[in-house]
Amino acid sequence: MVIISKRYIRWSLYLLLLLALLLGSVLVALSIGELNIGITKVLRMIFIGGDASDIEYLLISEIRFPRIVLGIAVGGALSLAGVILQGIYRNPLVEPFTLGISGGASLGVAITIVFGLHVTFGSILLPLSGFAGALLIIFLVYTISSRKGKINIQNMLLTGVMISFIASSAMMFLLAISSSENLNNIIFWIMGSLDEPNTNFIRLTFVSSLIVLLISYFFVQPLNALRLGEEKAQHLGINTNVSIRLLFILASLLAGICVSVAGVIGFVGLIIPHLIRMFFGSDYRFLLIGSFLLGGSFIVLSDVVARTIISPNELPIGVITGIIGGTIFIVLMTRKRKVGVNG
Amino acid sequence: MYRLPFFQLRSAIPGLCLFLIMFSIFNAKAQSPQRIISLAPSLTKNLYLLESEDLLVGCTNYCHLQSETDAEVVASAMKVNFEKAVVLKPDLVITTDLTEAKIIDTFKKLGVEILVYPNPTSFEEICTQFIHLGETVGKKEIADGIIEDAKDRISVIRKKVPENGVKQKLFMQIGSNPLFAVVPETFMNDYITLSGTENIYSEIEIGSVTKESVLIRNPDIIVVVLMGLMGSEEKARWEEFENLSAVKKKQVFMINADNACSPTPLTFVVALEELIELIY
Repeated sequence: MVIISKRYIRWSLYLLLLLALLLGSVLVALSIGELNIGITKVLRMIFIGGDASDIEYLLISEIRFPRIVLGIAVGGALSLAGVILQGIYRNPLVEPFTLGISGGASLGVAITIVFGLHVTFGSILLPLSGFAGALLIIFLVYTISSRKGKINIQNMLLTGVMISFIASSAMMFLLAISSSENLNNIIFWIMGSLDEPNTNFIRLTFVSSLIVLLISYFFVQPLNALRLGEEKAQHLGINTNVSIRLLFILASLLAGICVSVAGVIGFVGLIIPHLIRMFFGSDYRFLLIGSFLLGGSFIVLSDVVARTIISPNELPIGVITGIIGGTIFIVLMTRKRKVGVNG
Repeated sequence: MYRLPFFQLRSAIPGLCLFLIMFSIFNAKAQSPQRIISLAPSLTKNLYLLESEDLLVGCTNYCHLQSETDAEVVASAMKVNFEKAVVLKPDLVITTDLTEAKIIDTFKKLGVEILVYPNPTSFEEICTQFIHLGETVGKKEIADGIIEDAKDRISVIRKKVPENGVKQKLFMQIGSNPLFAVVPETFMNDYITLSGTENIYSEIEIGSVTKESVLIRNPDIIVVVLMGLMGSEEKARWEEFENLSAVKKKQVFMINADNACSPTPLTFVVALEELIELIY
């Protein structure tokens, strides 16, 4: 009992640390931009409110705040999906987009752009068609790899990678036949952006990421048991078949929502879970919430860099997450080799 | 003894080829091209303006006017079907600098003359390119006439623009996600200068901008240049920011994107007229 309570105290401390990091990132993101606003002013505006005709208040409430909320939601959700998928596949290289979810979403969006459907029916069709594409891929991967009510993990991974290749080739086909303006639109969409004018989509992403985080805690035991391997987990009395299916569907749907709202923001779902494992251990009781919080902070800070580094121009956020995330990861890994990453 | 004449003959081959090539080039230069392939929709449009559509034998699948002639589609936006292009026996290929260098090299290797027009950076450059194309196809008078006409129309419409006074700040948007602005050194920036206003992004070179920077620069006029519903959606989004100078002055406008984005002298004038009518 003493040992367990000690562990929980340690986790609470880590949790506080990560929460503080997230809070800090949010404050930085609120105050830094084209126009820098002092932290005290920002705090006053948060707690007391501001005048709607004030340009600083307008920037914070209408431009920066929605981006931050979407950033936390997408960063948290992608990291969560990454950590869950790495857990069920017991493969450290899996990320939310390995199974072709991003490919499917991009394909859906590209079809919409090439046929000009968004011009006739409005840009709301872009995220919708992206989500439809992601759903189709999830459905294909799931049905192809499950036989007689049983699911074969390794087959599923291979199927996912193959479908991902098919989707990206289909994508290249569409790029090859589209006009140069459409080419631009498709490529920019793929690069990802947190600039989403529709607040309903932001709410939806935020709420669904929190819901999946909550649900994933019902699967902490199966996830921890799966670290020993599927067979041993079964010996421990875990119904791996059901857990794996449900977790796969949950994580994929979440990744699908993220990619359709914010485009393909790579590396987050791969790197963040590994960082948490490196510093805080591989227990899923902490890994899930830890990845969520760190992922959120990472995306919020990356977005600050993306929109300020060549201001007033804006870089696609995927550029920043890839370069910064990858570099930080390599540096940390070479310093801290002793911890394995294989769940 | 046996090999010597053979070697001599072989060494003469390059010289002979060179002579043939030079001869054919001079020969071709002497007369205007008769079979043209256009790899850019805007250049296809210009050929029509120059009444030279009968010379067009091949174009891209995005050249909308192509259906009116028997020109064949030989290219998409990215790729050229060289086999089809060669079969058409073109004596001139016209394109813009958006075309991949490899494609240009291949046409050169195939011995077809290729004219690459850089993306025009001003209305003046649209005019010089148009006149050059006119000279090339032997229709210089028509080209001169059209340009003179366009410049006349511009000077008429510009009478509406007040000469003195403070210039209004204008933001011209040509992309929505990511937000893309018209910047200097593009022909579209001339819409702004010729309409007597000032670009809020007069100091940058790349068009991808943050929404924040638009709000801070607080333009007096916002012009949305986007296709279909995208345009009206974007206009409505700007109008939500009630404190923007452009919204207060009710100066958030949309103009026809097809005309405004196409670098031909005629569409330029039409778009400029539309813009000036809206502002004044």
